[in-house]
Amino acid sequence: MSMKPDEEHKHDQFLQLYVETESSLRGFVRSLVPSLEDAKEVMQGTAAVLWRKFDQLDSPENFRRWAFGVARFEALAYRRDQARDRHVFSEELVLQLAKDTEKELERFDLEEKALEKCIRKLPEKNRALVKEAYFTGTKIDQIAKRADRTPMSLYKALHRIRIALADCIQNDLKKQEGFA
Amino acid sequence: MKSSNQDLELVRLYLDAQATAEEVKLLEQKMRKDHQLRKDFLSYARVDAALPYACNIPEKQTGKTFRFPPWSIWSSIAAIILFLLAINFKPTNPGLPESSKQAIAYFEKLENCRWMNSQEVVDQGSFLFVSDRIELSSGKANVRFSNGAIMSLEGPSIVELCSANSVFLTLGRAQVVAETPESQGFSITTPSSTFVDLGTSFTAAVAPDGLSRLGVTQGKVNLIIEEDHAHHLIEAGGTIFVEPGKHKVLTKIESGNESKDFIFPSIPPPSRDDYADTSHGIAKVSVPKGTLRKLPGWEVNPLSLLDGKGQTLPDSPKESVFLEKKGGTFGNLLIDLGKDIAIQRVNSYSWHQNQKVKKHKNRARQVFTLYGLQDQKIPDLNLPLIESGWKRIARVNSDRFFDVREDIDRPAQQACSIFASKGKIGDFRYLLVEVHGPTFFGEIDVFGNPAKP
Repeated sequence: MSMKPDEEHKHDQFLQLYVETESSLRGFVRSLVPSLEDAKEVMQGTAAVLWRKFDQLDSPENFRRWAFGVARFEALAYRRDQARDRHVFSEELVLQLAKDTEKELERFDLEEKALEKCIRKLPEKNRALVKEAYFTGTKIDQIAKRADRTPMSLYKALHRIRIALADCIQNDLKKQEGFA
Repeated sequence: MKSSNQDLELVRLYLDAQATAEEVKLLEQKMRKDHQLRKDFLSYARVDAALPYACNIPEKQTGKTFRFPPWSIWSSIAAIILFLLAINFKPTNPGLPESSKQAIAYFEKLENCRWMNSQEVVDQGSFLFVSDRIELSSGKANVRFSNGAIMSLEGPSIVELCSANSVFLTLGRAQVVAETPESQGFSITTPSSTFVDLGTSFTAAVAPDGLSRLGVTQGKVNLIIEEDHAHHLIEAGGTIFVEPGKHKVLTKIESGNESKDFIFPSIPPPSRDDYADTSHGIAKVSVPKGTLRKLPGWEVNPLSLLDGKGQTLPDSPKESVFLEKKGGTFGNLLIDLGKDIAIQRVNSYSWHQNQKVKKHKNRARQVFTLYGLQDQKIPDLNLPLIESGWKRIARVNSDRFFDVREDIDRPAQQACSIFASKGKIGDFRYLLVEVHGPTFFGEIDVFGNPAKP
């Protein structure tokens, strides 16, 4: 994959900006589409558009806002494709969620750091469940079978873990604000 | 204040993709009115999105996550590190236990390295731990694992160490040499696939938009597509691209024997048995955008792309379909299959070798993007293709594939095969080849069967 020097510089600059934005962008996209798989699809489409149109970015400082705009557009386009099964939010709500998210962009990096700490605070068995369900990508049905539990009980357990993590993140951020 | 349990259950159903259409509608109604519910929803969605990437979820409470320790810490324990290096961390020593607390690798060599976080100070010999993330902006870094595997990174690259025998390559390029018995099975996971070394050397690369490339230099590598439960064995000399997305499309390119027989290691020669072959009288080819190159007294019929044979000579414009470059672009070739076809595979062939100038084989390279469209009115091709309904199937750049750095390195005869990891590529009536190079196309074969309604 050899590249010309100016192309390499562009690639390098893109990567730096993209990496800085990627995780918050992913969270944003996730809120706009019904499943993690859908979010992956939209993220890939978003990355492809960002890279293709990178030359149009007026200033690197605006990358984040621009990326969120592109992601919103991609999520809406994806939503339109999927609209036939009606398991998606309306365009109006997607736009509202995008607006809500954009107000909190600055907090995303702090949230990400807090999440790392919060994962560590989870009880051992919850951490193991998160790892299996999210990182190794094992299907819930399979985990349930192995653990001799019902899939529904695992879905609910994961839901409780997500709530606990979200609460922990908020508390951590509040503490930081208190110290600031 | 947090939302009610009943509302949070709706959020759960949505995030677990279990909500019925009615439940989605109900959640929507509630969220439109309730700011707090929207806030909670967004907060849980962000956690849900972040967890799959938390490669650093420790097994035990004692684990730690850090990227690169500050130099102050390193300098104070430098002596201990050097001592450990000398006694324990011999290149092929498999004895280091795999634990989140202990080093699993170290930087063996660093060349002109610049890190994405300019605050990070990394030195040759620095240890690496499970969950460490290497963000190399430029330069080259060699990482030696405790099992003897060596991973060479070329910036810009981002890689996370998931275990002593596996890494996650988010972006960039990594070459792995796994020559020791302990390092067999070393794997690189990319956003689209996992490459498992079966001995001994391969290169993985991931483009910013998720396109993964696997090139096997020595031995064999198992390409695993988790979602499809599919495995593909790639042998030395083989290279394959994996498109990102739910439905994985693979692209293989091979160099031929430079004869009119078009013999390739695994891709079959041009075929008369494919669905689009002119002998069936069904498929049509046109040039909706761009201009076919004409020669005095000779005009190539684009339908010759489907006639089951490639060129008979190495530099034969009269037998080649190729588009003129105008205004910086080449144009498109449109294949109409008459109705929706469940497409299994698309093969394309090119051949060009100037008889006098050995290195002049520029028109052999295949550079195009393949799109598909179901049976419907063709949108205006001047509009952006994806936005107007075309589905991008694969991106082909054979120069990148063969890592061509000098013209002389380019194979003169090339075949490209595009296929799904499992099952069909998709149901399409139209295939659009958006041409990005001066390729001498000899043949395009489309394999498939009429799609089931």
